[in-house]
Amino acid sequence: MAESIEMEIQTATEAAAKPNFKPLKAHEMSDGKVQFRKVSVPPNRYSPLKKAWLDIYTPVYDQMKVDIRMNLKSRKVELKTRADTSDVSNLQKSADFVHAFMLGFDIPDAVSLLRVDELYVESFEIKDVKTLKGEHLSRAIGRLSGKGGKTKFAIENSTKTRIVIADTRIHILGAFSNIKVARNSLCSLIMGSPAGKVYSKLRSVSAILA
Amino acid sequence: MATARDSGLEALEKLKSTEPPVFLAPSSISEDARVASQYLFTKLKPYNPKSPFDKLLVDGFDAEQIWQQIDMQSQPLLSNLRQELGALLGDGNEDAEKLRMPRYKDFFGGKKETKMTFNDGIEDEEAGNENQGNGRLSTHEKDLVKLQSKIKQMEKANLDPKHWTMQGEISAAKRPKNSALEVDLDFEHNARPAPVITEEVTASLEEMIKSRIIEARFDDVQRAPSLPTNSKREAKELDDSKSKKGLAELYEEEYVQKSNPAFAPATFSDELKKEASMLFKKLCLKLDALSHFHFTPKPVIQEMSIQTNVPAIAMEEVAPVAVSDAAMLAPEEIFAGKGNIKDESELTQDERKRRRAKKKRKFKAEAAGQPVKKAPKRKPVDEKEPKGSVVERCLLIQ
Repeated sequence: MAESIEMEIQTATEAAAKPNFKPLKAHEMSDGKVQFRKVSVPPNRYSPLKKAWLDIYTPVYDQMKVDIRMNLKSRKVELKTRADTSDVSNLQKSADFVHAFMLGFDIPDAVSLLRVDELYVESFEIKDVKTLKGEHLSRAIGRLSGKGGKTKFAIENSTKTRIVIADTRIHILGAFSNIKVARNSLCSLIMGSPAGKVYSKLRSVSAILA
Repeated sequence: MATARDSGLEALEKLKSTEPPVFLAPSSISEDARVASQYLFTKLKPYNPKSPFDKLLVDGFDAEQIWQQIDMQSQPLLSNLRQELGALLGDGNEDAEKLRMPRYKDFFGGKKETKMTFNDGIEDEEAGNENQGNGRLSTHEKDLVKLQSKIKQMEKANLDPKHWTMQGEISAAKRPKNSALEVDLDFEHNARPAPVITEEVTASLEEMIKSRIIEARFDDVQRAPSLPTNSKREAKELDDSKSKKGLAELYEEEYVQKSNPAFAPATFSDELKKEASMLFKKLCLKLDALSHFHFTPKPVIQEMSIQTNVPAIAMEEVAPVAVSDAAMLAPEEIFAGKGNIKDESELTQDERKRRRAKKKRKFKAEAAGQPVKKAPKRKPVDEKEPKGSVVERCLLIQ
């Protein structure tokens, strides 16, 4: 009787010793359930997606270790975690990448979402800044892009961002502080300030940023 | 002065002679009394240098005011006299003159008394003893007393309101009127104060100018030209063409630039600078060559290019840079003929035949007035080819 009690105590002390748990793997989190993301494909990006499918597929499948497929019926790109997915955030990153492509960013720019942390996509509309109608609106869009996209590229290069101007919607891809600078200059363009003025402001700001 | 003294003495004598009851009766005695007191006052004056009055002011003052003046003079005088008397009694050896000198005590009160007040707090026994109290204290007690006094002083200094000069920033309204005039204010100027122009200064300057004119010395100090401190800030060009690099590459470059700049790839401006310096070096070389014929070594222009067809001798030859090295080429470099040129004795039979055929063709063409036809393309001559084939070809040509 006494012996059995002793044994029990001994086992209890053994159990109380510091446990050594290994960190959970990505697929073991959320009870091993597979996680999904779906990114809908707008009709205007259908054929570009078809063309650039391999460029999207390879980094997502090989580097991020996330399964990806195009559901033709629902017109959505579907992403799924795998057993060997190394990081939980990979799925979200891949979804962001695909979504950025859907917004109209080029593949080499959108890939930066996979490679660099702290990059974001910000979207706004021209009417958020100022209610413009008719010719005023189209002139504002023209001011934003400039002749042959000159203004847009100048803003992109000086602030290290990428800008997509899709009709009245504007998407900016970049680091937080850079997005802020780019957004400021775009907003002042929408408000009607000439490109030269925006350039000179950009020069001084980019000198500080760099 | 002498008359005043005489009249003073007279008045004194008169006062002495009069009987006390007469004082009450109204007479000229009051005048005499005033003169006498004035006399006495001036007599006592040298013994009390601190008194505010030179002489007793009598005219137009009533008795009360006169008494006040006398009081003011006599009060310190009395104490002085008392002290002197005490000193004489206590120590006869001391000089009278020395005693008459003003003492610390006269100005600031008794030192011992203040000490006694400190003693009170510590020991009640010795409170009564005035002179011997200090003598009896042990060194430790003395130290304690000293310390206590120091503490009291510091506490007082802390509690008392600070002088306005020690209060930091202050406006005119907050400090007493005209108080800034009395203080030697010490603050920093960032410009050298203007020199005070006095007559001497101008005179000396004028003198110097005159003397220099006379000597005909006009070697004024030349103002040193100020060097441009920093070059004009280069206007940053905004690149308004589509970027060739992806965004990820841009951020990657930025990161590398930050973490270890040595390994960072050359930026656009770096490449431009390199190219510009290369061009300038080349231009300098050419200008040097034009300007003189002395030998100058070529500057090291680092360019990764392998130059072919350079005779080895050109690198060793020490020749002026501007001299053409076209004449220094080897014969085979000058003669650009193709094929191997052979001597008559070196020709094979085949070759001799071909040469003859060519000659004939040329002759015929000249005779017909037509341009020379080229020989039909030959297959590479094979050693094993039978002789007949050559004959056939010759026939074909004909």
